Amino acid sequence: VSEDVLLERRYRRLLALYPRAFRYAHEEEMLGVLLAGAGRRRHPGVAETADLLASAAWTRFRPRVPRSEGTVFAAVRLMYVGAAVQLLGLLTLLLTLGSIKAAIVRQDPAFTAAQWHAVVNAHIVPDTIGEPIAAVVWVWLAWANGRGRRWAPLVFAAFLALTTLSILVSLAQGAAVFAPAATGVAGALWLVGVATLVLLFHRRSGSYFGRSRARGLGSSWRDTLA
Amino acid sequence: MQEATFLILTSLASGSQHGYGIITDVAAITEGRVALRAGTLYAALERLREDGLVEVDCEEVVEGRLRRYYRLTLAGRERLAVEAGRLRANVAAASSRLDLAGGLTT
Repeated sequence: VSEDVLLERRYRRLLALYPRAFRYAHEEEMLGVLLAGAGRRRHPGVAETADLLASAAWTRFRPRVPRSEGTVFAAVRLMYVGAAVQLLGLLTLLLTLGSIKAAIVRQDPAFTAAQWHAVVNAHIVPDTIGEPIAAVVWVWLAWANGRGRRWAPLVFAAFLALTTLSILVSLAQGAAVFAPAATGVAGALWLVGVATLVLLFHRRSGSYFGRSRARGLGSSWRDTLA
Repeated sequence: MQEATFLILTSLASGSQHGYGIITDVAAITEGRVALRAGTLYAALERLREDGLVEVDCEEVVEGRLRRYYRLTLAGRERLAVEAGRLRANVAAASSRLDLAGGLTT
């Protein structure tokens, strides 16, 4: 097997990381560009490999909404903001643990270490596990809504309802008194969620989700090149 | 707008180009400062095409390989003009302040 064929095979292995529709559209021309720039190299370069890996990951996970779809475009970006705020909420909670405990002791001077242990197990540990999961859900919903899945706005609405419920339960348990900073972040998260919901169910967003099936990347390329 | 995107649009402003042509043109425009790589280029072209700023002009097969030519759309041309205007204003502001600072120190 010649060196050229081996190099091509190595490039193809990297290009296989891209989504199928992207490969359908670009694999052959990308291969041409990569081989044209390879010179006498026998292996893909380190920087070139890193670039292909990063680009393949970005192509798989990026929000794929045209700017012309203004409301959905903004909603998807807000969902990434939501994921970041969710993690910020966790960080705030962990960084303010000391002041949360101090606030509880101020209210109840007889508060024992065993009771604090119970609070940690009942509230802090579930939050530490739940908030990163919720952040992943925000990203997943951004992905699904960005790709125009019909069900995605409804699932987001259900997710926001759960988030709202969780915030209300925390408030009922006195979170605003004991953990004002984390409650503030939760309030910001809720506002991001409501703004996202309004954008998703805006009149202008309807058509984007209505034509999800026809928007496949591969099919649009086939249309373009037909 | 990211620099790579700006340079790709700039490269296409004078006429349609294929992928490798864009890479060599961007290197020439920036005097070798920016080495655009294939992954970055095609991810950007895909996004620009979705945004309606770039479109496929034509295709040919050279030595058994597909070569696809891209060109700016009208919207792409307008977007590049807006971005160039913005950068020009920034450069003018920076230059005038540097002149002012130079005037104060000499």
